[in-house]
Amino acid sequence: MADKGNKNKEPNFEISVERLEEIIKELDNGDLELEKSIKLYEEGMKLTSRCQKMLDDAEKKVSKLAKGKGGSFATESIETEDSEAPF
Amino acid sequence: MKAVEVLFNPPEPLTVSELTSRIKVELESGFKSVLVAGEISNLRVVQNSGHTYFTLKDEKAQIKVVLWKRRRDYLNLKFKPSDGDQVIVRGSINVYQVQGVYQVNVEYIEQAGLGALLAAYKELEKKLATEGLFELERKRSLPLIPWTVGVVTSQDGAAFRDIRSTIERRFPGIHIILRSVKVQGEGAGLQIAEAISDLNKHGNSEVIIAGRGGGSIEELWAFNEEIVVRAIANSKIPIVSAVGHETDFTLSDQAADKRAATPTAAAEIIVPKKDDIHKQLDSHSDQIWKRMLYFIETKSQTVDDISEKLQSLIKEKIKFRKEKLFSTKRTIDMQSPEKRLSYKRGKLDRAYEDMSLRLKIILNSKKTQHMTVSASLLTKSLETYLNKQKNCLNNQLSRLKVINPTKILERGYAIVTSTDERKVYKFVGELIPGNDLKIRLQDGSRAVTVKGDKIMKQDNLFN
Repeated sequence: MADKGNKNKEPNFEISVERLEEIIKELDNGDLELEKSIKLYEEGMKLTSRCQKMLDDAEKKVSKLAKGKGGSFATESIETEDSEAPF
Repeated sequence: MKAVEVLFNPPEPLTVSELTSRIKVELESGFKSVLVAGEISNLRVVQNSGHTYFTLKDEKAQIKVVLWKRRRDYLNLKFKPSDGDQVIVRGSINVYQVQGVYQVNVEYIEQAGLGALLAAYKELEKKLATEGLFELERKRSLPLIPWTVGVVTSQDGAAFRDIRSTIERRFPGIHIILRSVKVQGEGAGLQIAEAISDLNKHGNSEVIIAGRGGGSIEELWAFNEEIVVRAIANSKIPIVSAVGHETDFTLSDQAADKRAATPTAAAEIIVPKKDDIHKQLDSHSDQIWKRMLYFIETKSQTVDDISEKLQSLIKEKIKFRKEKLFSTKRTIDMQSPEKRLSYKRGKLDRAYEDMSLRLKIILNSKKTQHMTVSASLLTKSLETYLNKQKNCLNNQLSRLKVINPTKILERGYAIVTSTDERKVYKFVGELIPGNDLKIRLQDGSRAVTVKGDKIMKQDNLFN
């Protein structure tokens, strides 16, 4: 199975959560203009739903990294059956 | 010669048991208490009995050793005898006839200073520490959610199974990339170091777990090898070490960004519970929503306040303007022709009223004057008139006296009336026989009744 592009890096989850915390702090500021606060609110709601989606979209996968010739890598799925290991 | 003799005239041969017995007696009486130093290897603790078996060795020889469970419990050792340990054992030689082996039966055992391995460990630790590989500043924080976790361990080990099940339980959906390696024995260190470097080159992993399940110090030794420690220190991807059990500490642990006591613990440290993250996100969006609501409420209140102020201000202004307008209008009205006219008219009216009042007063005073005059005149004339009337009345009375019917009665006439004197009968024809009548003469009247129906007509005397 070929490596897929790092799609997770695009809307980095951690940065999104940090941004959410920032938005909460900014909204605490009572001097905010209404339009700005609405923008913040919308951004916050979009971010949360996107983060929730990221959590739910993650696909369960276990693979093994194998080294090919010339330093290239390939990942291959590991069968899901649980072989009892000695320890 | 003697040997031949033995061969051809042998005494009764000994049985194996007899021989072994003799050896046992010889050996056990000859080595009742020995003190021997050597390195432990092939140590195993038999599960059912709890007895410990190992081999003591040096460069050229080895001897079997047994440490009975009861003795071990009694000794309450300060260390856990493990392969590679340099130890000093005191005990007796014991022959195990069943297998024909002799062994040292341990009465006491102690560590013979630091083993070679431990010395090497200490030396390497010092060297790497001086290089700064274990510095706290080097340690990186772990990502909140590692979407892809690299694992360096043996595919068949319990460690991988634990890591995998823990990750899948806490956060289904995390991608696990295993780089399977030998975790003990010859070449294990090199493989582990390579695997770490490979996962770095591959680049997908956001965090790497390097480790293995529990074992003896020798079994865990690969994680004390310099090449592994350096590979961990050089990794661009944060590394969590998970070697053995809680009590096992390796140089890998010191170089890693985070040390986990066990592989399961490593997975728990790295991967959050998906439910927790969901809850956190929910609380974030909840907080944002609440703040927004609060924000809108306060803003709308401000708007209300302002609009109220504005309204009252405007009302005041309007009132003020109105008043001003009204007063202006009044002044203008005063100046208007009609107003002026009506004002003048009013003035005129008042003047007129005034005048007529004065006139009336004057007139009244004239009238009363006039009246008194005319009254005296009137009284006078009235008196003459009254006198005149009186005279006239007196005349009439005397005349009346003359024509009084009673005077006629005095002369012998009678008046016939009805009994109630209402009707005066003037003709004989009116009289009906039987009727009651009244007859009046000059001195009074008397009731009479009409008698006889014969009417005697009489000619007028004066005709």
